[in-house]
Amino acid sequence: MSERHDDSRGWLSRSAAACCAAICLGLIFACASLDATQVERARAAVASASADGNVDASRSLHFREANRHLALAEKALDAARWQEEVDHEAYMAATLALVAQARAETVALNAAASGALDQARRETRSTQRQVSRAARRARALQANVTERGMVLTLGGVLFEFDSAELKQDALLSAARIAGFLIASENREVVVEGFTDNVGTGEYNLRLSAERAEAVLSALVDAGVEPPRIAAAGFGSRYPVANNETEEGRAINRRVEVVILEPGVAASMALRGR
Amino acid sequence: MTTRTLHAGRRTVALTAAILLATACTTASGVTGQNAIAQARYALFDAEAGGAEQMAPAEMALARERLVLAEEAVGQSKPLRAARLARESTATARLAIAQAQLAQAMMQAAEAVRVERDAGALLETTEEATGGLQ
Repeated sequence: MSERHDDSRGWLSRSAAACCAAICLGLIFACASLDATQVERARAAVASASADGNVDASRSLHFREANRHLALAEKALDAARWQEEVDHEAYMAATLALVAQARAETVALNAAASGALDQARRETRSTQRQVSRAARRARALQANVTERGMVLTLGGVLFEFDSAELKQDALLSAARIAGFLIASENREVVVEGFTDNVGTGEYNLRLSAERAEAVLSALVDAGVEPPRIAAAGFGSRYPVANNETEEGRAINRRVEVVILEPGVAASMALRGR
Repeated sequence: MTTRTLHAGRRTVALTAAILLATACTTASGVTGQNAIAQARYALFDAEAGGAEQMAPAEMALARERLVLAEEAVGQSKPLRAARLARESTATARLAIAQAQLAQAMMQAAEAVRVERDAGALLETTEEATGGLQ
């Protein structure tokens, strides 16, 4: 009876040991099979943020938090704790690393945009200054924008009376016009001379042509290629003021320089063509 | 009072203390879960207000999904799981905001570059057109 009892106890203890061993093995197996996929993803995300030059590792709160969660995930994985805990910490690490990276990139982009806008403002101010300066110069040259192009009128006071020789002021104006033409390679220019109605038509025609030629020469001397300029005299034709008054006649004694629109040939743009 | 009675009294006190401690811990976990859910709701609201719905719809959907799961976990008396899910929801909502801000910054930067290019071209054209009138 006693032997049977001992046998029974031995069987029970063997069964208990087997059960314990099975549970231990099960636990070991379960622990060993913890999935590290999320941790690997988190490691990659944190490494990417760390390598990102925009992320300030010491100042970014999100980056520091991502590192903290990654450490917790690693610890939970090493200690073979619950999968849910490992995955949670890894998820937090990966997400916060992405937040750190996105925020740092946003700051960098905002700085770049701000720089570009500052540059645009500077360029716009410079453009405004250039336009204002050009407008002042154009006014000084008595420039008018017409269908033919920009017309600059060199008044009769720029010539000696009954002479085709340019005065010093006229040479200065011609130099300015030449500067414009040199800078605007695709524009040609027409120089047209006019007189008042005093004197014969033939004389006036010759004088106006000589004055136009004088301006043409001044432009060429200032550096404009001759093929870009056409010149002609029209005598007392095309008056712009009343020839009955001295003031009107003075206005009619003039040379007009027409700066043509880009692509328009000077030879085709003279009056009467 | 006998020694047996004394021991029984101590056991009762210890048991009561253990029950109280367990209840307190459970309640604390529940409160933590509720707090985390409240934070997640606020983060989602913040993300919606920041235009994340349009700019980062995938992240917003993920954040909402985690919040729903967190609320379900509260209903199933799983406060720790609820707190974890709620924290994940909050982090995802923050990612949605960050992505939305990044998308806006990208658009603004592209626009700024375009404005700068136009201003540069205008300046160049002006210089060409007014060269002789400077």
